Amino acid sequence: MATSILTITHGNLGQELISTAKTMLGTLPLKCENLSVSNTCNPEKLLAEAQSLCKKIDDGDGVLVLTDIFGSTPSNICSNLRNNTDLKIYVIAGLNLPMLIRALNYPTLKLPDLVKKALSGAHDGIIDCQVK
Amino acid sequence: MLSKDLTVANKLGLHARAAAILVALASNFSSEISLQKGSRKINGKSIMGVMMLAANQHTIVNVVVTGEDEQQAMTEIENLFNNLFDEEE
Repeated sequence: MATSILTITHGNLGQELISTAKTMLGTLPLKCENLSVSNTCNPEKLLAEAQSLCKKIDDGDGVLVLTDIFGSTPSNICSNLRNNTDLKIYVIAGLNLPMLIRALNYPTLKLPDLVKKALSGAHDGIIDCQVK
Repeated sequence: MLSKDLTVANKLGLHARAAAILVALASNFSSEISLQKGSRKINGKSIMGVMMLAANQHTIVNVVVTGEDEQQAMTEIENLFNNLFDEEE
């Protein structure tokens, strides 16, 4: 049993981050899927797709759902997903590559602990490169 | 406890891919593994930590390994550095 990751983002942002993570790590230690959200999307249809993807990738320990920016349509789909699923899911907004890499670095963690790692990874990955 | 200075010899330095290979190797051992560059010391089993070293080619990092399998861990880590993290240059 393991946690899985679903990204719900504008366009292919999530897919590109997952692909980049796979290239960096050589493999994906957790099941990852992406749901792309476009300007012309039907939110109800996308909610159904999100529910279907969660069921598909859930490995028994729940799904970490990562979205790009809070308050956006992808984020609102995540909020609807939270209220319309029986699965264990946890939603975080502000997806960046360090968040994803940090989460994938701990594939054995249960969902609550993986959430903490994802959050710290996202924050720790923001660095002012001008500061010596 | 074992401590050794190792040089990052590959052209791209300890970039993402090399860091991932190092971390995957380090995670096989029960020993605690740290890397230090200057005043920054990080956990060798954390890919984010290794990347934050920003260790370019020719950087010398101090590797410290502490635990039951420290000898094997240090040997394999040293080999990885010497083999340019399985990269051609």
